This record gives sequence, C-alpha cells and structure tokens, in this order.
Amino acid sequence: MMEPRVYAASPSSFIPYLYGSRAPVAETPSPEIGLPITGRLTNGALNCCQQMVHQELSHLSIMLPISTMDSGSRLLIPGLLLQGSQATKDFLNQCRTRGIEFTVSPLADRFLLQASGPAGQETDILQSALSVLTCPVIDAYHFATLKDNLVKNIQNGLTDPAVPLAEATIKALFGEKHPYGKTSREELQDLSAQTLSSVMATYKQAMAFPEMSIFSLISPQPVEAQEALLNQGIRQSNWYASPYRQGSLDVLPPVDPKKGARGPLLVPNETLKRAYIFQAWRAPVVNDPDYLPFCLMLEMLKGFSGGFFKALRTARSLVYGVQQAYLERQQAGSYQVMVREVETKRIGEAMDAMQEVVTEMVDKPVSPQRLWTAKEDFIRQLNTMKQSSAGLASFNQPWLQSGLPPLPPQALKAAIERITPADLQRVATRFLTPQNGYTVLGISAPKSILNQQFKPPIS
Amino acid sequence: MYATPVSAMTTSPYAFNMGTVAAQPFLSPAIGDQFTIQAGPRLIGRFTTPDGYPASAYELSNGHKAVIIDTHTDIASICTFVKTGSSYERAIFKSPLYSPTGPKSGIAHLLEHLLHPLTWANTASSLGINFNAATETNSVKYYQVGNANQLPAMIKLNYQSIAKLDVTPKDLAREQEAVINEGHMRMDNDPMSKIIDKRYELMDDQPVMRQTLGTEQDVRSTTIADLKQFHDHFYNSQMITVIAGKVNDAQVLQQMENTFGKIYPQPRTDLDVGTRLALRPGEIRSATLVDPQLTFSIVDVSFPAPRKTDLKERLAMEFIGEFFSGAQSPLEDDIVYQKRLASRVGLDYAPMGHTGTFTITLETTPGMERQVLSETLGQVGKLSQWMLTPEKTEELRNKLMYKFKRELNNVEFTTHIVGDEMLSGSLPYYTQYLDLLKTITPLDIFQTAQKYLNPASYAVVFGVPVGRNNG
Repeated sequence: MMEPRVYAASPSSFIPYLYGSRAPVAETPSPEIGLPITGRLTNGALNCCQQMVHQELSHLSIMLPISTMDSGSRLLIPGLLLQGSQATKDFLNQCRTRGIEFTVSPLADRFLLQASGPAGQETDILQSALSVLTCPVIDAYHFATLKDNLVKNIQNGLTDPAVPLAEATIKALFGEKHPYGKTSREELQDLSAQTLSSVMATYKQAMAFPEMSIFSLISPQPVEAQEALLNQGIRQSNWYASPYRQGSLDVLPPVDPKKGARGPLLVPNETLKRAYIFQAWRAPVVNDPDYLPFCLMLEMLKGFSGGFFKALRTARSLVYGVQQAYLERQQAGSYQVMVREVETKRIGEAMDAMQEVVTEMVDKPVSPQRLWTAKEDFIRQLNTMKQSSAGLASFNQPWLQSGLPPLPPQALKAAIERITPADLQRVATRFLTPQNGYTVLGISAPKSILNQQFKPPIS
Repeated sequence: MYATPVSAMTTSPYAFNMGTVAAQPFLSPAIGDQFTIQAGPRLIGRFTTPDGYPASAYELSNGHKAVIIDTHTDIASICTFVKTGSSYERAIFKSPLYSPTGPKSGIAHLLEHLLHPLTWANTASSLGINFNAATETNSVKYYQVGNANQLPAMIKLNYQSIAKLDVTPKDLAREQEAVINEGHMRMDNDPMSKIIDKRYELMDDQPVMRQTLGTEQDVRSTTIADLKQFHDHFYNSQMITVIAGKVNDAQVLQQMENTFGKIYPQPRTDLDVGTRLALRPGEIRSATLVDPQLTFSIVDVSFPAPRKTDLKERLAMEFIGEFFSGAQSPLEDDIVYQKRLASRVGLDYAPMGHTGTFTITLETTPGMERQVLSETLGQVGKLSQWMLTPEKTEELRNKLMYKFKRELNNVEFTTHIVGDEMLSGSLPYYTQYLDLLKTITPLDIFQTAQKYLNPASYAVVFGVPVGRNNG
C-alpha cells in the first residue's frame, strides 16, 4: 500500500470573539429537555447547546459550508473524512470501541458530521470529531478507490426508474443551472473531473471559514458547560480562520422566482411495465412565516388518512402507497409526491386524483376535527423524536441549517396550536396553486405508452 | 487480529471467561402483586428492561399474554404479535383440518391487509396515531405509536382490528388489488428483491413466495372462506401484546382483559411450522438471475446460522457479523480496498425459530463474480481456522454493547423486540443482552464459525446484467 499523504487544514491564528448573541429565553423547559441556547464560539462558529438528562448518549453535530457548485467534492469529502486512509479507518475503529460513532453526509448546501457517544464522554466525542475534521489523513490510493466506488454506486442507483424521473422533475422545478437541480449524470461528470488535490483544495477553503460552520451539542451537561467544552475543543484543535485566507466561499445562487405549472414532463423508460408519476412544488424555507402552517398542512396530505393516499388507494385502488417528502433547503424547499407502478391505462385517472387532492386543500377550509388530528399527529412526531439526543438533534437541524436558533419543543407546540384553518388555506393557495406557486409534473413509462397518451408524441 | 491456528491447539490459551450468566427464567415469580383484578388476569412475571424500566407480564383469562412496560414517556406504543406468517400457509392448507383447497401463498399477508382495514387506519390517523402492520415469515404484528393520552384508544383499535374478520366481497377485491399493486411496487423494478426471493428458494425447505406477498394467481383466487379458516386457526388467544408508555398497570390490564381477554380461547392444533433449511451440510446451491435492469453484478452468498433460541451461538454470530462489518473489516479491506473487486459489501444475519441465515451481498463488475465469491469464501473460512485474539474479541464486544445501547430509550423498539423475542421463546436475548455479551469467548466465536460458516456449504445467487451471464 502507498504511504499515506497527510493533508491538514490551513494553519490558523486566533480571531477575537466576534459574536455573542443568544436566543431569547421564552419558554419553560420540559423536565427532561432544556432550552436550546445559541451563541458564537471563539472561532466565530454558530453553536447551539441543549441539555437533555436521562440519556445514554450525547450527540454532536458540525455543519460545514461547502461549494454547492462543486458536487464532486461535496460527494467525496464525507467518504474521505471517514475512510481516507488506513490510519483514518483505524482511528475511527478505536472510536467505535469506545462507543463513539461518526457519520458524515452531504446536504444540499453543506455537509454534516455527526458524532454520538456515551453521556459523560463529551470531551472524547468532541476531540475525536475535531480530529477527523481538522487533521484528515487521506492517501491517493484510498481516494482513487472511494472515487471509483462512488461513481459505481451512483451509476447503480440510476437503474431505479424513480431516479431519472425525480431528477428531471426537480431540475425543472429549480431551473437548468441551479445546483439544487443537479442530476446524477451531472454529478458523475463533476466527480470524474476531481483529483485528490482539487478536493482537498475545496475542503481547505471550507475549513478556512470556521465562522460559517454550525456546532450543535446535546448532552446531560448544563449548557454553560457544553459551550465551554466546545470553546476548549476549538482552542485545542486550533481551528480558527487563517489570516492568510483568500477568496470566499461560493455563494449559493438564488432560485429564480417562478409561478405556474409545468408538465407533464415525459421521461421514457423502456424497463417499465407500468407508469411512475412524480409531482413537485416549490415549498417554503424554514425562516418563512408560513413554514409551520405548511408543515401542518402536509400532515393532512400524508399517511393513511392523508389526501393522496385516500384518493389514489382507498378510493381508486390505483397504487399500493404514495411516497411524499418535504426537503427544506437554504434557498428554497420542495414538496414532492411519488406514485409508482400505476397501470398505464390509468395514468390520466391518477393525475386527476392528485389534482383533486390539491384542489380540495385550496378550496375547502379544513374542519376543526381534521385540524385537531393534524396537530395531534405533529406533536406525536415531536414526542417520538425527543426520546433520544439524536432525534432531538435531527428535529433541530432545519433551523440550524439556516443559521437560526431552533424552536424549543414547548414553543413549537404552542406555535402549532395557534394555527387556524384560514392559515392552512392560505399556505395551500400560496404554494400549491399555479397562480401563486410553482409545480412540475413528471411521468415515466415506455415511450410507446407516452406517445399514445400525450400529444404531441415525444421525439 | 487472528491469533494461533486452532488446529495446533487442544484448548485455547486465549479463551477467557467473563463469568457465565446463571440460567434464569426470563420472568421471575411474582412477589406481592399489588393489583386488584376481578378475575382472570394473573401476573406471570416481572423483569426490568435493559434501559431500566419495570415490566410486568400477565396472562389474561383466555391465555393471551400481555406485557406492560412503564417507560414514563410522552409517547406510547402497542404491538400485538400473532404466531402465524407466510411459512404457515402451506402447512395449514395441507392440514387435515381443512379442505385441500391447495396452498394459498400470500394468505397471511392478505389477511393482515383485511384485518387492518383502511377504516381502522383512518380512525387511528384521526387520533394522530401512527398505525401499521407487518407480515413476516414466522409472525404477523399490528402496531401503533401515539401520544401517551391515546393509549386506551390504541388498545381498543388493536383489539378491534384483529379480533374479528368482517369482510365483504368489495373489501376483499380492494385489498387483493392493493396487494397486487404492492407486489408490482416491491418486486418489478428492484433487482435485489428478486435475488432475495431466489435466496429463499435455495435456502429454505418451503420458501415463501415473493417475500410473503404470494403469487398474483393465489392472491386473486383467495376466498373469504379461506381467510376465515386461516383467521380462526391463528387469531385466537395465542397472541402477545406488549405496551410501553406512561402507564397505569391496573387500568391497562383491566382494559386488556375486557378486550383481548375476551377473544375465544379455541384450542388449536399446534403446527410445528417455521422456516427450516433445505441446504444440507456439504451442499452448495447456486442460481443466476439475468436482470435487464442491472448494469452491475450482485453476488449474494448465504450460510446457515444459529436460530433465535440458541443464545450463545446467536451472540457469537453477532460477533462474527460485527467482525465483518465496516470499513476496516477484513471483507471490505481485502475485497473493496486491497483487491478492488467489489464496490459495496452488505451483511445480514437473520435468526429465526428453527434456523437462521447469514448473508453477505457484494456489488461487483460483471465478469468478476466468481473471483468475488472465491475471495469472500476465503475470508469467511479464516474464522474456522484461526481464533480471534482476546483484544479483537473485546473490541467487538464493546462495539456490540454500544450498538445495543443505541437502540434503547425508544418505546417502539421496546415493544417490538419484547414481543418478537417472547414469541420465539428467547426473551433473555433482550433482557440479558449485556450480560450475555460478556460471556462470549474467542472459542465460542470460533466454534460457531466452524459449525455454520463452512466455505463448502452455502447458497449463492448471482445477479448479472443481460449478456453477462457468468453464473
């Protein structure tokens, strides 16, 4: 095996404490979960600390901005940080034997390192995580293997007929050039252009701007102790902005505002015997005043009693299930609905059924009973997530990802309780209608079927 | 990582004993029952969950088992387990109890759809409760998660769902269509699903059809009478319900007695059913699936593995699974990184009532399938020749301990694992997991590997793209 080559983040120097804002304390905490407290660490990073007692595990997450235009680096860096060399793998294996687990995943705008380990071992968790981030050990052999495997895995993923359809629809939703609409094929092109030097240059640049990163710690310790620990970790790892840093991080281009409805976008697929239908809408970001009403509206559209399931399966036996997702991103969110394996002769019926659901949501105010149910459902999910530090962290993530203090569970419950039927109708009208929102409908089936059912025929 | 060749030793100098777990009945006798129950339910034992919550187990007046766990959480969970499943389908229709209508594959799953009808699902959803059911080869479960205050409604709903089969021809037609659609969704465009089906065919004596879904023909031809027969046979008092949340034992028990306790206690002929291996010692079975959707190849190799109730071997097999997991494991290190023969490795250990399977799945380049299989067998075979060092064993033990602890503090996980293990008669796997882990020695791991992971006895399925048939 080749000798490992060591890459470290730029040497850095101390930057004085720049920020000190804290989230206002507004709510009485529940007995087991304290209020999240946000502030700035000594390197300028946003931090959010939250006390959670009676937990076996503490949870740390660190989000780093990464060039969104460069999907190759964004996809490679997570693998490289955890499997970049034998030395790295040995280090992480030792961490696992102490109960410390790591994951690194690319988000749309950032990448996210998560570490969790036994409560009481927060210093070890933090030091290990910072070691992974600030002293990555990566060799050319592992880089080549990871890149090769990543390319193969993306290519293998393309065999799922849902992937090309979803990607074509999302590209139309966000625009041809926007990074949010990048397809697997475009990512493969980005990936193949990457070298170890180019990826490490991108990574070093991200690490040179620590004030753009976001730390979150959830542990049984008081928040003051957590914050002190994070600052101590920053000092020990010497992760500060370099006085010699140049340039800036890429700024994510704004998403062009659009209104209307596009489609059906036809994606021929000869391996299919039945049809796939995918519809996506532009959706609010987390700092939009309609964010929570929108989330509550989705409770009425998803699940066994949700509008889409009722219309497509209960009433018409068109499909087995309906998949739905709401992705909150920094610039614009998306709400998407996927139905698979519809008999090709019933494509039109399925499209009509989906439209019926949207029309009902926009035209008819929800009943008090249905609103109560949606609230109860939302609170159940909150209660489920706050059983563990990892669940609470994932609950807080959309806010933190946007640089905002997360809402404490009690404040969130109160905000949900205040939502009225008029709020829901307003968000439905704002996001789900072509007059105010923007939606794209995509359909995949064999070309002969698409030609037969949609005019003019596709070429 | 490996120490001494075992052939050179009579006893292992590395074997160390952390002390054995005394044989304990999983439910200790009840002492000082504080509850006043009018008639029927009796406390059959108490235990503490590994996350420290008190649990009480009762037998209702008709024999239904109820376990109540006070987790003090804002969220509550209920899960009812029925001892049936797709592996019971052939047995039941071959039984003299029934007219020989022929095997109806998928009936256990179709019945689950009809007992969990959309009207109940709507009721549950209207209360903000998450409600679902699942059919496996050896069990069917009905489960809900809701806010703690919804627990009485959740108990009622689970009871109403499964106690009585009330089906109209229209309901049956709707759910037959739903199951057929489910088959298309799960099987048509997922090459891995077809490979798993083929694996069952090679490994099991009575393989389930289309992963419990059944064939389309059987699903369409199933009648209400067939369903009633199946329901009558299995959905009687031989069920287990596990409840966790902020509970008052006496109230919950009373409600359980008034609902599940009233299900008729029809004695049933216990069928000795459950998945058994068709693969004989020293036998190699193989199959090749050519799939136009594949652009790469899949090598899926399965070995026999310990069953659920053989706790020592089961735990030892988990050590082996952990040994082969992760980026630094010998499989990944050798096959993915050193030789670059595969791009991905997956592992699955599935213990069942009568047997188990240990499966390694690799994604590779077309043309490399045989070499990947050979390298995999080589790595697996080493565990039968060399004993792990105490240091490596300790490392694996720590990883398994933390992995288990990560699952704790979750009411849904608690109800599912307690019910599942009770149904199999292996509850100590859960209640004593951390103690049992401490007893596993390098010799246990070595012996388990020798017994099950024989490189000359396995089933392999090759999934290959069109035009690349190397199997």
